[in-house]
Order: sequence, then C-alpha cells, then structure tokens
Amino acid sequence: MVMDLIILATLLAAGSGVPGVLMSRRSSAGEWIAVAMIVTASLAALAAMGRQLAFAAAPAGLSEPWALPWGRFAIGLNAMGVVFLIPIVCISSLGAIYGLAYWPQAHHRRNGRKLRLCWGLLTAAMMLIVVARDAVLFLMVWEVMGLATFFLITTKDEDAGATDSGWIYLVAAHLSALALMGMFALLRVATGSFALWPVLPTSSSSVLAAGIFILGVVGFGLKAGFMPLHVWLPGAHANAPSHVSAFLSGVGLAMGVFGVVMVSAQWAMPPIWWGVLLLVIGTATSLGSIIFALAQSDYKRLLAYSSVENIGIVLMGIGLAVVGRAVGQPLWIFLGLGGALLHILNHSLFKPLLFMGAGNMLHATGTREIEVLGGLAHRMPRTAGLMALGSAAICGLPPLNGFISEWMIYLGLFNCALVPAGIRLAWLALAAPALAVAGTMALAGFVKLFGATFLGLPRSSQAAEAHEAGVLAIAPMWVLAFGCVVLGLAPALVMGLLERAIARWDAAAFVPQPALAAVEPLQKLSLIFGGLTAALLLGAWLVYRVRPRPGAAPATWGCGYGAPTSRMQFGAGSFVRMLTDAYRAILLPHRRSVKVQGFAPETASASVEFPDTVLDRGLLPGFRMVARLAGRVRPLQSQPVGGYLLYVLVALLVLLAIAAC
Amino acid sequence: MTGTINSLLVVVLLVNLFMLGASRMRALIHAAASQGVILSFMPLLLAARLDWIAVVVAGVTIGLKGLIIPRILHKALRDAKIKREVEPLIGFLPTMLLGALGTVLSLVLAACLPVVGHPVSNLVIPVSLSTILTGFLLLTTRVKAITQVIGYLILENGIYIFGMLLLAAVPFLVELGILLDLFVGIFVVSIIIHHINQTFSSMDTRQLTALRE
Repeated sequence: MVMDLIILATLLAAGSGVPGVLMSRRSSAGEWIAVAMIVTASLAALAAMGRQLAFAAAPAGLSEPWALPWGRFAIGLNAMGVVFLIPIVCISSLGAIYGLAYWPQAHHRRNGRKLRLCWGLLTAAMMLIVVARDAVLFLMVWEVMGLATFFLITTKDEDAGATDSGWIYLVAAHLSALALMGMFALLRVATGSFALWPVLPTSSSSVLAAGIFILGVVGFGLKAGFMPLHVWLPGAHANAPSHVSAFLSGVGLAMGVFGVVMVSAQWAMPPIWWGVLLLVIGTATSLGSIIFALAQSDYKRLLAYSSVENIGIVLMGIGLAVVGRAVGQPLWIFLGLGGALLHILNHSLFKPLLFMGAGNMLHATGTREIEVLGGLAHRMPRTAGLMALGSAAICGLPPLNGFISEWMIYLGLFNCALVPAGIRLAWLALAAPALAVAGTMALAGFVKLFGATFLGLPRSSQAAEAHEAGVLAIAPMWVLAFGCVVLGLAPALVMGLLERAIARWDAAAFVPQPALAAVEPLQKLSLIFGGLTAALLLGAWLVYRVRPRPGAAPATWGCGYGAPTSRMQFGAGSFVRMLTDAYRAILLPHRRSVKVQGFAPETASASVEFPDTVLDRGLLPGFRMVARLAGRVRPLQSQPVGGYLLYVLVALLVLLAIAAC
Repeated sequence: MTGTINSLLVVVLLVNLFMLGASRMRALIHAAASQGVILSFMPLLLAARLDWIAVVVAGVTIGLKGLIIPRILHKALRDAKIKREVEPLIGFLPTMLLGALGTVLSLVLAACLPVVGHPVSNLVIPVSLSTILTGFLLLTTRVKAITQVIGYLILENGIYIFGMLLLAAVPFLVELGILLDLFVGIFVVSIIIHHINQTFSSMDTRQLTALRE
C-alpha cells in the first residue's frame, strides 16, 4: 500500500509535464494540469509517508525482477527516507505553483513546456533516489536527475551564461556519476550484490572500505557542492530560473547529502579519520563559501554560495556523527546527525523562500545586480517582509528554525570538549568557533543583501519602477515562511521523526529521553522563543507607533538624513569592503582602477570582481592549458599520406628491432 | 649458383641506392623496372629444376615489371605533363645516406632475426629489408603521386625477395596474386593521377590533404 502510493506519486510526477508538451505553445492549460498532477503526487507521497510512520513497524519495501541484466526494481521507505522525501514533494509542489506566476506559458512559449517536463522528471527522479534499494536503479535515476537538472538550468538556452553554467554542471554531474559507478562496483565486490544500502562487515578490507567511502564522498560531494567540488553550483543557481534555483538548492543539494549519510551508515565501526575528514571538509566548505557569498554582487550567486555554506554546516554535523559512531558516543551521533538532518529540512524551507524572493526581485527589476537596486521595500512590501524572515532564518537567528539545527550542531561540538578522558578528540570542538565565524559572516552577507536591495533609496530606474509579485508567487513563500516559524517555535514536532531516522542510521544511537532533555531542552526553548517572539512583535509595534511622520522637520544635526539621495547611502560592495579586504588572500579579487592624477583628472572608474577561486583561477586555466598542450599533439593525427607511411615505417623498424633483440 | 644470386642481390642493393639518389623521373622508372627484371630471374636460378610453371611466372613477371608497368608510368608522365624532376621533401644526398643507414641496419637486424632453416644466401633477408625500407623512404620523402607509385613497386620488390626464402612453401600462384594486385593498383593510380592532374592541375600529394574532413 505504502509502496503503491509512492510508485503512483512517482509516475504522476514524471508524467506531469507530458500533457503540456502535447498541447499547443499558446495554451496555458498544460501548466495547470502539471501543477495539479505534481500536487496530487505530493499528496499521495505524503499519505504514503504518514501511513508508513503511523502504522508500520517495519520499513516498507518492494522488490520485483526486471528485464535488465543486472539488479532488480527494489524500492523501500523508512524514516531516513521520509526526512529527505518530505522536502522533495513539498518544494516541488510549491515551486510548481510559484512557476505559474514566475514562468507562465503565456510569456515563455519557447521553453515553458520543456521546463515543466523536466521539473516533473526531476521530482520523480529525486523521489526514486531516496527510495531506491538497488544500485542499478539508483544510478539510472541519478542520471535522470542529472540530465533533468541540466535542461532546467539551460531553460533559457539562448542565454550564453545559462548554457555555460549548464555545461559545467553537466561535466560535474558526469564525474559524480562516474565516481558513484566506481563506488557501487566496489560495494558489489564487498557484498556480492547490488542491493542498497548494505551493512558491511567490519572485517572487510580497510582499503576496500576506504575506497568505497572516498568514491562516495567525491561522487555525492560533487552533487552536494562540497568545496572545492562546488564549482558548478554558483553559476548554475544564478542562471537557472529562480524557482528552479529554489528547487535545486533547497532539495537537489540534499540528494548529495543523502548519499553521504547513507554511505557513512554502512559500517558499524567506521575509522575515526572518516568523521574527521567530513568534519574538516564541512568546516572548510562553510567558511570558504560564506566568504565568497559575502563578496558577490549578484544576489542569486550570493544565495548559491550561501547554499554551499549550509551544506558545509550539514556536513559538519554528519562528520561529528561519524566520529561519534567510531568512538561510541551516542550523544554526538544524536546531536550531529539530528542537527544535520534538521538543517536539511530547514534549508529546504528558507533557501527556496529566499530564491523565490530573489525571483520576485528579478521579475520586477530585470537585474541580478545588488548595486543597482535599493528601496524595494516600499514597492514590494510582502516580498521584503518574507525575505527578511528568510534571511533571519538562514542566519540562524532565534526564534526561527535555522537556530535550532545550528544549535544542535554547536551542542554536539561543545560535547566533544567535555568527553570523558581516554578519547583525545577534544580538539574537534575547534569546529565550533569556525561555525560561529561562518554564521557571523552569513549575517553580514544577508544584511548586505537585504539592506542594499530593500532599504534606502532606489539607485536606478529599474529599482524605482519595481512592482510587487502576484498572489501565486507570494502564497508559496508564505507557506515556507510559516514552516520556518513553526519549526523555530516548536522543533519538538519533528524530533520524533528525526529520532527514528537516526535509529535507522545507527541503532546504537539511542539516548534516553531524560538525558536528552537535560542537554537539549526543546520544550523550554519553545517557551523562551514564544516570549521572544511576543517581545519582538511588541517592539516592532512600538517602533511603528513612534515612526517619524512624513513631512516632519528633520533634526538640526541630522547629517542630511532629512533629504537623502541614493548616492549618500552605503553601496553593497563598500558595506562588506572591510571583510572582503580581510579575506582577499582567499577571494583573490580582480581589481581594475584608473589612477587619479593631477588637479583636473579625467573621468576615472574602478571596478572589482570576485571570480570563483577554484573555477576561474584553478580549473578553467588548467583545462585551457591541457587543451593547448593537446593541440600540439594534434598535427600528428592530420598528416599527408607520406606522414602516415612514415609512422608505418617507424612502427616496422621498432617491431623489427624488438623481434631481433 | 650462390655466387650468382649474391651478385644479383648486390646489384639490387645498388639499384636501391641509385633510386634514392635519382633526380630524374625517367631514371627512377627505369631503375625500378630493371630491379624488377633482375628479381624476376632469381626464381629460375633458385629452382632445382626448370619446370614450365617457373618459366611462365618469370616471363609474366618480367613482362609486367619490365615492360607494362614502366610503359604505364611513362604514359602517365607524358599525359600529365608534369615536370620530369623528382621533388623530394628531404634532399637526395640525405635520403641516400638514410638508405645506406637503413641497409646497415638491415644487415644488423638480419643477423639477429631468428630464421628457421637455411636460406639460399645470407644476403636475402638484409636485401629484402633494405628494399622495403627504400620503398618506404621513397613513399615518405617524395612528393609526386608517381614517385609514390614507384615506392609501392619497390616495396613489393622487397616482399618478393623475402618470398624467395619461402620458395618451397609459398606457391607461385600466391606470388602471381600479389603481382596482379600490384598491377591493378598501379593501373588505377595512373588513371587517378591523370584525372587529378586534369582537375587540379597539380600532382602534389601534399595538396591532396585539402580534401580531408
């Protein structure tokens, strides 16, 4: 019953774009059918999950032989799958509804139908990834996900930026699939079957185990965007349509995390260094990417880098859990993995919220440049309010949901410092200050994003003539914002689910309830947050009451704030200048300026760009060099007949010499 | 008997070097033809007794290599109105030196090669290898299509000499088959040369690369 519903949901989602493709370009009936089918699919999947969680004691499963030479059609659902399945179906539905307003068929006749077809395929592929219990099936749907994502990123295939980003993504996706093929092959060597996810004997060769683990981290890391494997991510998320960015960022990256979680669950006693490796990668990812996020002048790129940062935070939690498993500390597992999973859920709430808000801004102004916007709060008040809430949530400010998950990971890291003697891992707690630095910088980045775009005065006519988005674009954002507030105020709602998911990951990770409540008093937290929210609302109301009336005389020493102009306000770049200068060794900014000389200087200009250090300064020049070197060998291939005969002669002589000697 | 064969093989070697140094097309064609004729006599000398098949084969070979193929090449030369000079990519002296080096190399290699049975003469394998190398040198260092044809001709001569080792094993019929292939090949190439020349007014094989891709 549960699996039937899941299959039904998958089929509905996969086929949701098909009626639209069969219809005329001008008809907008197809998009409504697609949304109806996606929403139905989501409801079916939610019903299946609810049934599974409420009534079934054992995980649901289905295994049928198929005509392919390898593997079986095997799917299954457990609590861990539910944690990842919920964001998929919810964000897919909300994004599809948002798409009605953001990418209507009436305005995008060329590519609207393609987008909806791939959207449905991507949803179905992700659902199957989570429930797949066979490596061949997994790889097939992984590939479908990669291709559907590629076509979604290149929806505007007349735009060079979109196609370039799409190609980079495609290369990354194929590398990822390659690594995963290697991993599943090794898994088959270790277990003798393609069934997922196997529990491997501790006695299996440590080299084989390390190979499986490393290939898994690389393959899934390319999807999730661990630094330095994140190279495809900023461009792709910036150039894709905004609701696609929302879906890819909020849910697509979580598929990579899902893989890492499942791979690391396969050994009862993993080596400590695996967990430490994940923790280090996570710390580097969150710190490195947030620096880049801070420097971006394109708000969608900023959000994309911020996604990488959040994946880094999630990875820190997973790394902590793996270490906990290696040294037998259930509390570390609970706090690390619980925080990571909760952060995945949270990120799938606030990141789509922010990307949808960015979509509204892009739709209203037609530009992704932060520097030319400003004062949008007056023209787009609903978007502004929702973006403010999303920004606060992603920065981990109480009383919103981002705080809870980061707090759990903090608690876990602090617990490393409190471990009983005998485990020399107290230094792992050093990741906590790194997380704090990343959190601070995220705050600075989002203050820049929100302040420079929504507050102050418009810096250009586009910003001045912006308009609020329609109700279909705002309604999904309300739902997401509601989710952020609810998870922030009452995190206990999902704790039951998380506990069951953690139990699937490691059955030994059971922490008795009183002990847990002592470390992590969720009920008390909810009460405090409720009070905090009330105080915040009261304060906001008071500020609103005493706000200066328009036309009121400015204060005498008001520094000109009575009659501000857009040139008097902080630019986005200058706002974070101090931080970007401090980290210029990592950012390697590309500055261009004309030196001003003499008494009557000519018009001068200065600009600064922040290219991605890994992609633009490492990989692309490297690839170009390889292409140049390869070009030198090329004349060998294009020879006249005489040249080819010379090769034959040389080969003949060499063979003769070998035969003679 | 061996003395005669050895001296003939030395002549073949000298003709090889001469061809590498030849600057006139006519001289090249004549040299190739005479080399073919010399080689055609060898099976007669080697055969234990003169049966009529050996005589017929020798006759056909002499006719083809000594008369018909040179005739066709001369005709192609005349029809195509190409200049009578061999156009080398590498100069004549360097190619001759390379040829000499190749001959030395063949002698060294032949000494090392494991050969089953007793060959008629110690010179057969080195001369065969050296002739093959000469053919290749002509093929790779000369530009004109006709010189390439001659290069193939000499290549075949080298293989023919090698075949003498296996005289007992390889029936003359196979030898005749190779000869027929060569003849048809040269025939076709001459016609193609003619047409290429008419169409492109050039026979430089370097320019044929413009047709690729």
